Amino acid sequence: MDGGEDFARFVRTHMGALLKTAYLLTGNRDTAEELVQDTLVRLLPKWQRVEQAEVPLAYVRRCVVNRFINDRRRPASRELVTDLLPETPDRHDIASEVSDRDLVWRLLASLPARQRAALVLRFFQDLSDEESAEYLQCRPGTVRSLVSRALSTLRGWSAESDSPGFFESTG
Amino acid sequence: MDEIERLVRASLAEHAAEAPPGDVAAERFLADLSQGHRPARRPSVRRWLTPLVAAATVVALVVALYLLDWRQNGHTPPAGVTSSPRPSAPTSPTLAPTHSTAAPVTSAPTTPSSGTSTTTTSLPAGPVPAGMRVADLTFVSPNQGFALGTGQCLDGSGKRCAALLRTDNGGQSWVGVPTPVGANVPDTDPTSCQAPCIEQVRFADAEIGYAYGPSAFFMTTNGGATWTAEPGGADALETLNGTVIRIIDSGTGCPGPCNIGIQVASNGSTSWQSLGLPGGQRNAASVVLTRAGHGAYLLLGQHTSGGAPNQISTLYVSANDGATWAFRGEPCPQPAAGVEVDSVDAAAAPDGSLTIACQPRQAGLAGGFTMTSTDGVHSFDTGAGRITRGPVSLVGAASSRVLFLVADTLYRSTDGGASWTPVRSGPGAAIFIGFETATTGRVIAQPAPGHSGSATVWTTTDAGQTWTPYTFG
Repeated sequence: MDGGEDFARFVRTHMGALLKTAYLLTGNRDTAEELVQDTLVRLLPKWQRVEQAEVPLAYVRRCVVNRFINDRRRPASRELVTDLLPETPDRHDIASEVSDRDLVWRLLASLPARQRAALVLRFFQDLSDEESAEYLQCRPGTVRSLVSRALSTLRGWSAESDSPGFFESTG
Repeated sequence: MDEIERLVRASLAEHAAEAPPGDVAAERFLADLSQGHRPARRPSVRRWLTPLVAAATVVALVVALYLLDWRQNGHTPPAGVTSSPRPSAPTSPTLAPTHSTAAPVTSAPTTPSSGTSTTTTSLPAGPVPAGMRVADLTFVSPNQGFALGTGQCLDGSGKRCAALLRTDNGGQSWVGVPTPVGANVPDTDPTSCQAPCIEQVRFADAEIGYAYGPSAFFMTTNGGATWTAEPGGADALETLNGTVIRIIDSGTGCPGPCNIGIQVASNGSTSWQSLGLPGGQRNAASVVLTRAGHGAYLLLGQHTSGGAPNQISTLYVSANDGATWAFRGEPCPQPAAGVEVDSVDAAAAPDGSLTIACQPRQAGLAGGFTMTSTDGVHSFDTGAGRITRGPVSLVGAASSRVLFLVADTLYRSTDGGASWTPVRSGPGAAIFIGFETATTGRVIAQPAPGHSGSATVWTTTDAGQTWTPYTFG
C-alpha cells in the first residue's frame, strides 16, 4: 500500500468530520474548506508521521485547530470572515430557542480564536480539559480559563439586553 | 450545565450540519491534487505553491517506487491482462456515471453504510464464457464491479448467451455470475434481442442489483445468485445513497420512449414511488440519468436525424436524491434561430459537478464541446475547445476540470473543456465511459468495424492520464 492511497483513503473517510470542525471554527463554508485543504496539503509530504500517530484523525484535527488560530493571529487575517455578520444582536427579536441558538452562533464569531476553539473542542468534540489542552498546546487550567472567559463574554451581551434572564445561569 | 453552555452546545451541534459535504469536498480536493491544481475555492495561490509542489513530488516518488517494487517482485498479471490496474482504496459513495440508452455507464457505487466491497454472504462465482463482449459496466467501489454482455453459451452449443461477470479486484480478474433466467442481452444487433431483453445492469452494493431494459426488469438481493422478475422496465436507472431512481415509459404512441416518468425506491425494495415530471417534454429519443452526491440529473434528448431545429433536449435536476425535480430546459446554447445544438450526453462527476456534451447539428458549425456546472446547474461554464473530428457521442467527467469526450477517438481535457487532447495510448472510440472516483474510471472500447470478438475494458487510476486494457479471452 503506498502513501498516496493511504492519504486518499484518509481524505475520503475523514473529510466530513474535519470540515465540521473547521466550519465551527471559521463560521464560513469556503474558509472551512480552505482551512482543511491547506492543512492536508502541508501534511502530505510527512504523511508517515500522521499515520504513526495514535489517532491520525486527532493529529490532523489538531493541525486544523492550530492553523486556524495561527491564521487568525496574522494581521492580514484578523478580519473575521463569516457567512453572517457578527453584529450585536437585536434582542427584541429573540423569542425562541431556535433564535437563541442562532444568536449564539453569531456571537461565537466575535470571540477570539482560542476562545472559540476551546468552546468547539469542549462542547462539540466533547474533549476533556486535558485533551483540549493538547490541541491548544497549553495547560488544562488555561483551557478552563478560555472557556470561562468565552462563556462570560457571551453572558455579558445578555446583560446589555433588555430581555433579562435570557443568558442567566439556571443553576 | 448553565443556560449559555447548553445553548453553545446546541448551536454548535446544529450548525455543524451546515458544513460542506465531506464526500464531495474530498473528491474535489483529490482531483485537484492529482492534477497539480490548487482547489477551486482557495483564494491564496502563494500559500499553496510550495507545499503543493512538495506534495506532488512526494506522490510522484511514492508511485514510482511502488511501480518499481511491483516489477522487481516479479508480479505477473492474470491471464489476458496486458497490465493490471492497481487496486484502489474503497471510497465514499460518490460516483460519476454517464449514461444514455445507447451508451451504458458506470453506476453509483454503493450505499453510504457500505461503501466497500465487503460482503456478508458468499457471492456466486462461476466460469467466464469464451468470447465475452461487454456491453455495460457498474462498479460499487473501485475494486468491485459487474459487467453485462454476451458470451458463448456454456452448454457448448456455440450460440451466444447473456453473461454477467463480477470483479473483486478492480478488474484484474473476473468470475461468472448467474443472469436472470431466460433473459437475453443484445449482441451485435440491438433490434434482435428477444424478450425479456436486458440491456443494462446496476448494483447498489455487492448484493443488491438490477438488470433491466425498456420492457424487462429483474432484481437480485444476493449478488446475482437468484433474480426476481418485476413488472415493467427501465430506460435508465442509477442507485446511490440508499435510493434507486429509474426512468420508465409507456412505450407506445410516439417513436419512443413516450410518456416518460420517474420512480424512486429504497435499494432492494419493490415499492416504487412515482414522481411527477415538471414542465417540458414527455417523449424522448434518448434518456440519460446520472447521479453524484445528492444530485440527480435527467437529460431527455430528441431525434436528431429528423433535423428539426425545434427538437430540443430537456434537463431535469434533483438536489435531494430524486425526491423532487426541477425543469431546467435545454442546457446547450442555441446560437441562432434555425440552428440547433444538441445535448447528447451528461456526466455527473464525483466532485458534484455536471458536464453536458453539446454537438451542433448543422454542418459547417464548429464541433462538439462541453458545458460544466459546479453550482447545482444554476449556471454553466462553456468550454472553448471544440472536437471537429466526428460528432461527439459520450462525455465522461472525473471532475469539473478533467473531462472526456468520445468522438472518432477518446479526448481528454484537464482545463474544464477549454482544450482537448486525443488519448494516444488508450481505448480509442468507446461505447461507455464512467468514473467511480476522481481518479478511477472505466471505458469499454468500441469494437473495430466488422469485429465480433471480445470487448476490451480499459481502466485508469490516475484520472485518465494512463489507461490499462483488459481483454476477455
